[in-house]
Amino acid sequence: MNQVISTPHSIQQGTTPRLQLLLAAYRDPQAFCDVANASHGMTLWHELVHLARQQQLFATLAWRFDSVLGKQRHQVPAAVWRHFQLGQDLVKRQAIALAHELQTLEDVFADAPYPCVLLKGVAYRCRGFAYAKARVFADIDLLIPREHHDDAMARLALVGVVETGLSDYDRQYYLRWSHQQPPLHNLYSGISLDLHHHIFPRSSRLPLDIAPLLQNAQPMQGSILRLPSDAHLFLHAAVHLFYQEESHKLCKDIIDLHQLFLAIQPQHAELIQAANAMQAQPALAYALDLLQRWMLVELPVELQQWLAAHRPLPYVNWLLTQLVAGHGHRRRIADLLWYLRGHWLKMGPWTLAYHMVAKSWHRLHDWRELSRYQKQQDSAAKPADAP
Amino acid sequence: MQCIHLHTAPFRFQLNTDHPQLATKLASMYPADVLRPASERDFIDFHIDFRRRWSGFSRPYHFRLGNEHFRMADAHDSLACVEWGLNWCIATFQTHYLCIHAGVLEKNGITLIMPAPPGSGKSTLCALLMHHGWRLLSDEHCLIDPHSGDIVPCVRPISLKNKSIDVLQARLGAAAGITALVHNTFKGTIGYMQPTARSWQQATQSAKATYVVLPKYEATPSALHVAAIAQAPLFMQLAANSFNYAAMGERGFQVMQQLVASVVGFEFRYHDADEAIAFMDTLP
Repeated sequence: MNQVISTPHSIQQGTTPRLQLLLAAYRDPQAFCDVANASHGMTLWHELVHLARQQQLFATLAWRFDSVLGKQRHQVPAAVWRHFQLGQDLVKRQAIALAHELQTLEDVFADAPYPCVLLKGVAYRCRGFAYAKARVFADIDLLIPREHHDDAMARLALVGVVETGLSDYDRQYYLRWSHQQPPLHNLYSGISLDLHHHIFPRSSRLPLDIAPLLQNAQPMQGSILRLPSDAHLFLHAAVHLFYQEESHKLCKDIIDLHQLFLAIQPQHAELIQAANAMQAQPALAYALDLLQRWMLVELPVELQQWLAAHRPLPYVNWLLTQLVAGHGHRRRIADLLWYLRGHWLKMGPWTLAYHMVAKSWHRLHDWRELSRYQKQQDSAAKPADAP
Repeated sequence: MQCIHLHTAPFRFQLNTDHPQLATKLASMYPADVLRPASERDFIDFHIDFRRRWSGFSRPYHFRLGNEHFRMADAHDSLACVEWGLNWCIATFQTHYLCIHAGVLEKNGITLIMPAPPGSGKSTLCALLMHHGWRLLSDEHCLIDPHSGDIVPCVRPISLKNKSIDVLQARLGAAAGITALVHNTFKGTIGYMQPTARSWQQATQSAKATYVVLPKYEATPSALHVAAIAQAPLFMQLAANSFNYAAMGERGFQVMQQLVASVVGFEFRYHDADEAIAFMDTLP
């Protein structure tokens, strides 16, 4: 990753900018400013904005530049701050919306006889991690044991949180293979809620055990909603990053991992215990390896020794490197392999084969639907006949 | 693959496209200086993809900003799609400036902000005033700088629809400068009118907001109707016509409040264009 800063050879007009640029800016804002302002005019800066928009990292970068550069923040051009503003406004609005939404959940589950555990972005916020205030969240992830889902959904429906508009295939996908119910939406606020029964699909062959996560989740003060322990938050982020098939939020996931690691620093020994108990050792190994190499994190001796004994598979590293730093055919091949691997881990061979064919067909169908939808919308619009 | 740059202050666009005629079409609407290749000193705000993608048997060109899809277009209406797409970028993907859907003009320090729904004759009135000595700041986006409260110009051709193209051409002749026509869009025929030389020259000069005008063309002959609007309803009108007021949260409220406090707002119903133009010239 150091290469990004020293020889930004990839940054030429017309070439696809690579995600490594984004990670480099995040990891070392000062070095990025030095390089961007020294030799390349505005090129690196607008490539950065372009990437950050795609990965929804405006607010995160703004926070990072602000907290690292402090009074030197003027090294970041005003044109860049102008775009960061979009993310900063969004996280502020999300904070207000989230407070309201959590209050609703508080009332909904006040007398529920089962644990309700917040996961991922919302959990980071509720846990009070500073960086989470600048992190955009897509939905509220709530983990509830599967046997209580009927009750939970009935309660949610009463306050207008219901399932809306999913295709039959996608709906079946969630019900048969995934680790959550089809996404729910609050009809009043528009916020999405994912009701989970696990952190990884039921059709997968990974033996992840979430019982320890549920057992160790503690209620927030004055609330019935619980948060996973810090070690479990980190492990979940690692599982999410390394066992997914998507790559459009890769940088966000890597930054999550880095920030969580920094935030939970004193409890590193717990990570090993928790990974053993959850059978999530490979995810932990991938995560530690990545943090060490890409974020230049210095691991405590204990973790270093553990990592030496649990070396991650090199091909995963190759794939991630290509996704972040590759271009052209290599990047496209890596994208495809990452997609296949993610699904493979989630489904196994037969389900995967079926899903690939069905999903390709449905994707084609989706594009055509979009075209049809546009046509329909257009014909409904009246031509404006001004004088 | 072609890379086209559009230097339209305050935002600069880069269009990556495989559309064979897009560059020529844009050249009929924008001065060469606006379409010059970007240097590495130029900050590009929006990297747009306008490329062929498979999506059935029609509308092969997709307008995209990063991962975000905007619209599909056929070869024939691609120019209109690109123009709408640029508007979409400014309206949706920035909250630095408060962005109100309005035409804006300036003459001798007097500015007119004209927010209005489609069909009210906003663009036509804008075009007429522009050809009577007013400089165009924008036909589409009234951008308010949150720090100074000033209007930041966003000069681009005026988008005219259907009958208004004929009306203006009949009135102004070749001087109308309607240089690009796109037929058979879902809004009918669209014509793009060139901003005047002065509008382009002062495209980076902000202006103090003075008047908000809510125009409405009356098809039946009637006298000019002007009625003042109080601050509170004016605020609501502007907020309803703003693209990013809600997205800006509290900042949006503050900027809007500042704007409303600094302007005089009035409803403006007219039938006779000359009368309308003459009235605007008398504004103190």
